[in-house]
Amino acid sequence: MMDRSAVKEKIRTFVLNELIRNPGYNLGDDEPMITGGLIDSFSLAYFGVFVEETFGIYIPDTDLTVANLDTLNQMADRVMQDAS
Amino acid sequence: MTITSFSFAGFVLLTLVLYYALPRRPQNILLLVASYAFYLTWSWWYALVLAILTLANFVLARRIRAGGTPQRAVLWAGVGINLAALAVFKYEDFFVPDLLDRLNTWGVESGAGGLDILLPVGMSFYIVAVISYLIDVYRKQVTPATDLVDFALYMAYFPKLLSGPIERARDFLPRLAAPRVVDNDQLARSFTLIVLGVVRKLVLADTLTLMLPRGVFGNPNEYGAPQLIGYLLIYALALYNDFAGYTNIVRGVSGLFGIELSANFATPYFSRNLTEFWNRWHITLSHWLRDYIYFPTSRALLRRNPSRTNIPNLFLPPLLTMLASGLWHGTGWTMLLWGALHGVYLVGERLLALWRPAGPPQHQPRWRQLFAMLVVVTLVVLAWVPFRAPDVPRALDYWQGMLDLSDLRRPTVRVFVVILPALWLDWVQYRRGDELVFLRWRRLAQAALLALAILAIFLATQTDTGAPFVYQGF
Repeated sequence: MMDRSAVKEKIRTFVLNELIRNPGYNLGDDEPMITGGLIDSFSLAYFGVFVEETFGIYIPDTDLTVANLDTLNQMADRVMQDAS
Repeated sequence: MTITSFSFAGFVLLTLVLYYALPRRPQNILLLVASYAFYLTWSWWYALVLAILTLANFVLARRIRAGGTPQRAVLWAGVGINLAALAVFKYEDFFVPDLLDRLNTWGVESGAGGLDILLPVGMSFYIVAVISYLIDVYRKQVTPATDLVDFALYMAYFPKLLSGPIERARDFLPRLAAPRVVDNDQLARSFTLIVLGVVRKLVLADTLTLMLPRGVFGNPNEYGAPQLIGYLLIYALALYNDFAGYTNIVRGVSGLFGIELSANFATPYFSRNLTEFWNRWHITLSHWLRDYIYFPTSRALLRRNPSRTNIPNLFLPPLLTMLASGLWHGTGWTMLLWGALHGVYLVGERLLALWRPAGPPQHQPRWRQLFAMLVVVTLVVLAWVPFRAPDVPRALDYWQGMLDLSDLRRPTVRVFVVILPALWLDWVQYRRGDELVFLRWRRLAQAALLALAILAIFLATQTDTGAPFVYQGF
């Protein structure tokens, strides 16, 4: 069973380093990343592959939506949904 | 029957009266009958093609989920049938003559010619919608429809039949089954969308189109640089208001039946980057391309090499996606050029993003946001040249003419009478982030704006341009 806070921290590190490409950015757990313009919705493809490789969970393309994955908490929830 | 005609208004009124006289279940049957009656006013042939494809896809989706036959094989057969239908009707006049020319140059004589079959209006829209349905059924994202009436209505629903929005079955089919609430708020939203749509189409798009010299894209050499720039801006605004107007009207009409249709535009010319533009322009198609071409391509490449800086990862997904968009829009090299240009823009944007950390655009200084908007709108407007030009050489002539400062004839200043209200309308919506911001105005201001809109519609319709909706051609 994965720990949600550990999952979220792994996602945070990935998002800051790979998607936002600004490790120093102070990203809030509920900060809207896509609707807030921090990353674009096309970056969700990277997130999908990251989740596959890191957690062994496949998120279907049609679930890689802004509505589902706009914040760190939403991303962590989506991973935990399949992990449980 | 065009959707800005009085006959369409009468058709909608009659359908509404019958619709609300019926209990819930027969309402969908009525909408299906009305949708086919509407399509028959265009051509019985179009209706026949739609009916055949509806039945084929209904059966195919169920076969995908049925045991026995390999699911992937049925999916590919389904996608193939739909693409083949589109290819026959839409692309054969593009590829066949070209192929015959090549054969002739190689000394192979052929008596064959183009089939000259007319593309059924709306086909490009319902084909991509139903392909997404088959894929979603295969991915178990949606259960295959068991009710043929509901599925046929998904394919043929008349407000979205001609030019979208491109709805996903997994969103649209539940709406057909859900209770329909048409209260005062819904009525207000629907009528506001209809009025906005009619203003965008008849007052703005058609008037702007009238100001375009008929042959400007065919003979750009006859015009001065300021004229070519001005006419290109007019075309950009006319195209946008034409399609956004259409979408507003059909969403408003659909709202009267209690069925929501997706938004397709969100003030796209105020985008601060190209990715944002594609999330604001023809949204349902952009998201379709993203979900069914961009994401699968990106993920397949990233699985092979997860590096963001890997050249194929950077270049291929945007280029393939935008080339597919070009191919969807049209059957000429000009559309491929348009798609390729946007693909290159997106690649450029991703390359830039590798060198500088991202940050929310709204946190940037106002001047920088305005500058970014100006850059984006310039790139988008420049790409409309091949989108509209009859062939690539004349698109190149148009661009060249815009740089030729030896002829400084200007377009008439009258165009600003239409350009300024068009920009104002978008600016008001953009500032509040709400397309229906007018519903929040005071009653007196609403009444004044409505009176102005009605007057403008009356004046605009005194000159009947008879201009069809541009996207009906796709």
